[in-house]
Amino acid sequence: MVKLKSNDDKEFEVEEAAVIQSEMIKNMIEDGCATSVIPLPNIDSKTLIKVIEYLNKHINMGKAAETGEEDDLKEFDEQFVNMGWEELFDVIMAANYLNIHELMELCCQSAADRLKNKSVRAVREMLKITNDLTEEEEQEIINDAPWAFEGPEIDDTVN
Amino acid sequence: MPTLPTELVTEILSRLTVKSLLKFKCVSKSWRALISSPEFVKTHLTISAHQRVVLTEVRDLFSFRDVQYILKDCSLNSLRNDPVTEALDLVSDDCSFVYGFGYDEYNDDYKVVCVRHRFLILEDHVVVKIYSLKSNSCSSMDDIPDVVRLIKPCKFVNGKLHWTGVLSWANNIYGGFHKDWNIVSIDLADEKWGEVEQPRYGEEDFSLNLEVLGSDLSVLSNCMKNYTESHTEVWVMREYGVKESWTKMYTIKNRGDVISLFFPQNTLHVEQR
Repeated sequence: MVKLKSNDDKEFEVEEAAVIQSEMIKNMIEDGCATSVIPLPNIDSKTLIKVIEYLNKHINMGKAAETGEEDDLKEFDEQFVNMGWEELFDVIMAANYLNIHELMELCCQSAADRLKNKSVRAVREMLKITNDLTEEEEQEIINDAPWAFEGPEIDDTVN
Repeated sequence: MPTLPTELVTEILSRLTVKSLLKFKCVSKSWRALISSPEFVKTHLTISAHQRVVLTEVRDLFSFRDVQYILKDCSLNSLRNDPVTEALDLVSDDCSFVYGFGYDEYNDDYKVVCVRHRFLILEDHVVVKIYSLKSNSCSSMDDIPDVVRLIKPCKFVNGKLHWTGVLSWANNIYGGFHKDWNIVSIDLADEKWGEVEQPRYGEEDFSLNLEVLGSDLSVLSNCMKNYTESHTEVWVMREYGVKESWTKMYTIKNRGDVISLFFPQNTLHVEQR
């Protein structure tokens, strides 16, 4: 078992087989740096619980293919990313920090899917970005490819 | 709410379609710079080359029911306003449809051409539709290719989409002979059908597959003498539209039973090394 500590001082025990899906922790274990608790100063407990849930479910990825549990895993993944926008960002940051490739893939794809049809205004609001383009510059971009700004699928809602 | 570092924004944006990305250049100066950068275009290309993205905008525009078709997302260089140089194959399980997708440099537009063959007892019925991404609309074409059937895959060369066409039903289309085939093309700029003159293959009979070698149109002619002996010739049209420029590049000898593996639709990729 490996002990992980979140930045709000909560400790979690995770099976080694699960936690080594994180390249970062795997390297620490191989280097003999994981003898006691591993502090994770960038991850809060709420996010860490989500990450551990993912790691435990994906512990036997290879086996799943043999036993026909792939569909089960796919369903889990779909459910897993069904979370709030801000929560998703926290998980992406954690997955990036811990270097868990599959989790990064899953969450970044989910983020992309959510942004895909959004209006420019909605994207700015979702990502808290201030528009620093002048009106002329904006018009120039629109003129370059007006078709990209049209269509019934453009979604102006923020969620 | 954390602010995402640029590397993570890149991770997410590189999974978007070209259409979304062109739109999101308007988000801010830093997004405009990121999306326009050659490094980003490269990352986007690498990721989208491994994925197949459903172009849903197109899907509803063809009025044919139950058509599922998928095309490889067109990352390529379109973000930098360079013409797309790679053909994109549309995949359909229904063999009475063929699709092609390519870039119309003249109108700076992406177009999908869909040809549907319906076999009626007394007459063949061919419907050609062409979709323009720029105008987001689909129109029927009166001009139809002069063949009874087009065979996948579609190859995009020199601003034109190409298929092999079957000229008559005299022979089974899959075991047909070269005299019964031609290479038809549609020019995406003026939307006119044409024919590409073929090389002088020799006397033996064989079937044809279209490929692209480098940026040149290429034909793989597959000759099966009997069940134990066959060979494939790789022809390349060095100068587009010039019949004399057809050059035989390679002859690949294979055992007869290898053919079915060698020529599944669309899986043989020829690369110049």
